[in-house]
Amino acid sequence: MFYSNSNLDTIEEFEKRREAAAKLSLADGVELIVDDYDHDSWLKTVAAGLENEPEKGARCAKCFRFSLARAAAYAAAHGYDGFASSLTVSPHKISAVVFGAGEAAAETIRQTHPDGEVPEFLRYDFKKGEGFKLSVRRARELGLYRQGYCGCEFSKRKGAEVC
Amino acid sequence: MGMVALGYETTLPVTMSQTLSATAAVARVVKSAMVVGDMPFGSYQCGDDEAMKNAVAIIQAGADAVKLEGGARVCGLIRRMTEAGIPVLAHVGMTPQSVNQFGGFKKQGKGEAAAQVAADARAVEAAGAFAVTLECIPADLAAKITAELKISTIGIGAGPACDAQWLVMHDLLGLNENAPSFVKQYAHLAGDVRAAFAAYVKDVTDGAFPGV
Repeated sequence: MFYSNSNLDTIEEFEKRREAAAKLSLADGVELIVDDYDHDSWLKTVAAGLENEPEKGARCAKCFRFSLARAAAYAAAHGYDGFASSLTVSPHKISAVVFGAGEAAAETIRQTHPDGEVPEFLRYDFKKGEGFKLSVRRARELGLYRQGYCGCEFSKRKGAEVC
Repeated sequence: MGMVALGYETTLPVTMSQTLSATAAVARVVKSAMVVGDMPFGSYQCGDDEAMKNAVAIIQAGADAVKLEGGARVCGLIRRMTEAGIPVLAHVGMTPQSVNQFGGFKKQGKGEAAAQVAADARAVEAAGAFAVTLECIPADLAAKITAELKISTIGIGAGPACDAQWLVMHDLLGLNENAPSFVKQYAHLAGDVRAAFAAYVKDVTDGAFPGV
């Protein structure tokens, strides 16, 4: 489980969600890899010029590409065959946009490793088959923290949807 | 096909022979895409045996699957076709072959009617459809159905949350100048086609074509 959340507006929120991820990884017996928290870089790379975009708009698509590029790079560096994204579990995330970001990240890795085996992006839609409801039930069973907003400061604006 | 290629006001006049001809033509040139033959109105409403024969004919014309419209009322057919090895793409919401019942091509599933569309989608999944088209229903209803079903949803005028999207080729290319409001045109070929024909007529009448 690769935890990368530089979009989060505060380190406190990053820690809350990291703790939830740690509980889940322990419960499921999977390793948790925690990516560096670098919100300044996220603001410069993703949000600059897109601060007023609505939720589900261009900033969100760019944010997916930012995080999935980091996941793809980690997967490639550590010999993983593929990677997917739990972003698709949210009813507020358009899975096709997440898939596009994941495939762009995989393609970037492919171009930089022309002769090597590179991880594929797996188009797994976690919200299918009542996946979101199942995730809520699982979170309740494990006593996991449930976020009240997507993550960045812009998603906290009035009218923005929670995840 | 009926409305954008054959000049019909609705899809109702399309016949089996037109469908077979179009299916075969598409199947001849497709290299990797899945070909789905749309069962025309009347081809599956006059008895299940007749429907099965027509579905078989569409598959034999080159389709990989058939599509038919309706929810719970066509589940028996979907089950029978699936058991016979014919993959079925279902279609709920605004089903164009029911245009006369709807009183026009109007958005379906609004308000209390949402529950019926969702129930239809669940029913076709349970009957064995491999995917379901959600046509012209509210985006939030399509998102809810998409999340609930295990099979893929393919939206047309149903918002961005569906697993895949329909866009009629003639609408996409701007060949149909009376496209529905939800259509996005990526080219405006109707104008280009008209200009090309006008230039051709002018060249012929001016003596510029054909050359001597």
